Amino acid sequence: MDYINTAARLALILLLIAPGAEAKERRKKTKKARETVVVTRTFPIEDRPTKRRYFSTTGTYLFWQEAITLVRGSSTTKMQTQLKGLSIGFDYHIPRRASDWEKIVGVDLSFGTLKGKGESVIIPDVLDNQFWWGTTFRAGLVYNTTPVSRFGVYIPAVYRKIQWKFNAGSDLKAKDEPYSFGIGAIYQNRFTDKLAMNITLSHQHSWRTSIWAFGMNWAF
Amino acid sequence: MPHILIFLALFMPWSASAYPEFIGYKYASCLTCHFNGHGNGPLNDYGRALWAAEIGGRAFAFGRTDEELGQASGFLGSVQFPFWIRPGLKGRQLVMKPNPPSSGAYTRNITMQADANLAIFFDRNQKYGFIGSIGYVPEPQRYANIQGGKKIEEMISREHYVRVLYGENLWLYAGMLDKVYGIRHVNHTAFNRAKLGFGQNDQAHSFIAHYIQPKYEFTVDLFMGNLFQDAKLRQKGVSTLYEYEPAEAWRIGGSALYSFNDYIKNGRVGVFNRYGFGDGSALLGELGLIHDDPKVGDAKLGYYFYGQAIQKLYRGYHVFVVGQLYKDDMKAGRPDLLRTGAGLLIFPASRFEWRVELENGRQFTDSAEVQRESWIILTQLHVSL
Repeated sequence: MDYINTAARLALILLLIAPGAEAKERRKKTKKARETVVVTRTFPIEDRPTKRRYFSTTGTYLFWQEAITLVRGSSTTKMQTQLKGLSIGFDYHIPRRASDWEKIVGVDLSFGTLKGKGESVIIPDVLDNQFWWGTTFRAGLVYNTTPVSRFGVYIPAVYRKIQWKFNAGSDLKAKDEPYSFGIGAIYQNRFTDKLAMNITLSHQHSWRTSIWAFGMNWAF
Repeated sequence: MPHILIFLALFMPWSASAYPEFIGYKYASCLTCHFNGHGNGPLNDYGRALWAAEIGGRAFAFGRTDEELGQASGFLGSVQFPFWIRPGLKGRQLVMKPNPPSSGAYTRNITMQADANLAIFFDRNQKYGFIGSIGYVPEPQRYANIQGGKKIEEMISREHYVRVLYGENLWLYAGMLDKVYGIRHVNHTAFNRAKLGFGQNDQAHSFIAHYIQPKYEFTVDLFMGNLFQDAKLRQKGVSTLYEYEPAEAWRIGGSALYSFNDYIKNGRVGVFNRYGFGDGSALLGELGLIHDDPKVGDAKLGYYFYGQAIQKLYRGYHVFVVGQLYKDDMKAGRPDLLRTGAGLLIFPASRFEWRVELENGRQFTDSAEVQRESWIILTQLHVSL
């Protein structure tokens, strides 16, 4: 999965380095008459193009870490695990009339790898790029801070599947909980009417971890 | 003294006052608000008024109009000082709590800045001036605990320089001030500041030429190190910065630096982007290479990245997210360090700033071993009179 990791990081860098399409458009206008550049700072709510209900899809790179406990015989040890992966999601957007608020419900399908190594010399067991997958249902509320940016909160409910097969045969001390729920925050910048950058941070209650996700969103 | 400077450079975040993200308010050039054309240091009259009348919230406004708030933004409120003098005071207090809310996590309370600054001008157009700041730097606890150790100087010059406007567009600076490189923002522990040698107290005695046109800025900085430091440690060299404005509220640029002392040669090169949109929202990004060539040991070539997105929620209230990457040496086995964070940047009223940030740090390596991630809550109150 290293290529996924590298590609995701490059994509993130390009996102923040590269100019948005809106800026390119503004550059054209600037050439004609610098003082007539249209900026969106006073864009009236009633003119904003987010009145209709619509779908969007999101491609995301996500990563997090979890501390687990291994057992072999009478010995136990902690293991830090690192999980990385990709996610594809579909959202349904319900803008509120004459308001900057928007309701969102969505589902994600995620997959990736995890790794880890036991912290004790007694159980130096290893998880080596093991596959995981999961699915998420989300419901949230976002606020359009500007015509091209938004900020919101959501509640994710997640199911995941991990083999937890350790190289040297250790076991998990406690059975992994496949279900979790939590709370998350989403931050979005739109580059065009269709394309936006998403950054989310969510905390998962059952797994006691916080998940970062960087992605691109395309509105239909 | 050098050890203190190194310590401060590493562990004192959020110390300067430069807000490149205000390009989201359509203010692209630092010279608009600061006496120093590259940001940091005391605000000029326009910067004070702007903070009061546009950037800051209306807490404690008591019904006054924005214009009245702007007029009352001077050191003594509405009292007008003579054209030749502009005094100021700045204080920043940081509270940080690592790995909350786990038991055993300690909370640190740090006085980051307690400065008195003074700008003196020799003409009404402020073409010729002197700007200086004296700061109180409390002795770090680990030095204070050393019995019989050398007394650490607690009052230092943050900056002192002469500024001259030559012609219409060329600003010249001579004195001790920050080295010119990349995006200068408030977080001095960020990878694009601390890892490059631009910490809170990494100023150098320099000669700077800053040429400003409406669509671009170009700067050359010749520096000879901090003359208060041991001569062998002084980093002498040159840096340059070019920034071009393809459209309103959008700037792209590049920076390079070469410096050396008796122990190491440093090279840095980077490109950056500042993109404002909406009203008060912005994206910042900087990507670059770090080359360190010590006299003893192998040379290293690393990289760094800093990205920030900030949105205005309401006048004076902003939310931001930050992503940073750093690798000290681009060789197999060396970890990629990742820092991600989110927080609030609040200017509830003129003269006040409150920041709070939750920051997460983790490492990516090729091996199966995983380092524990770190979390830290940072909150800072900044008062500027």
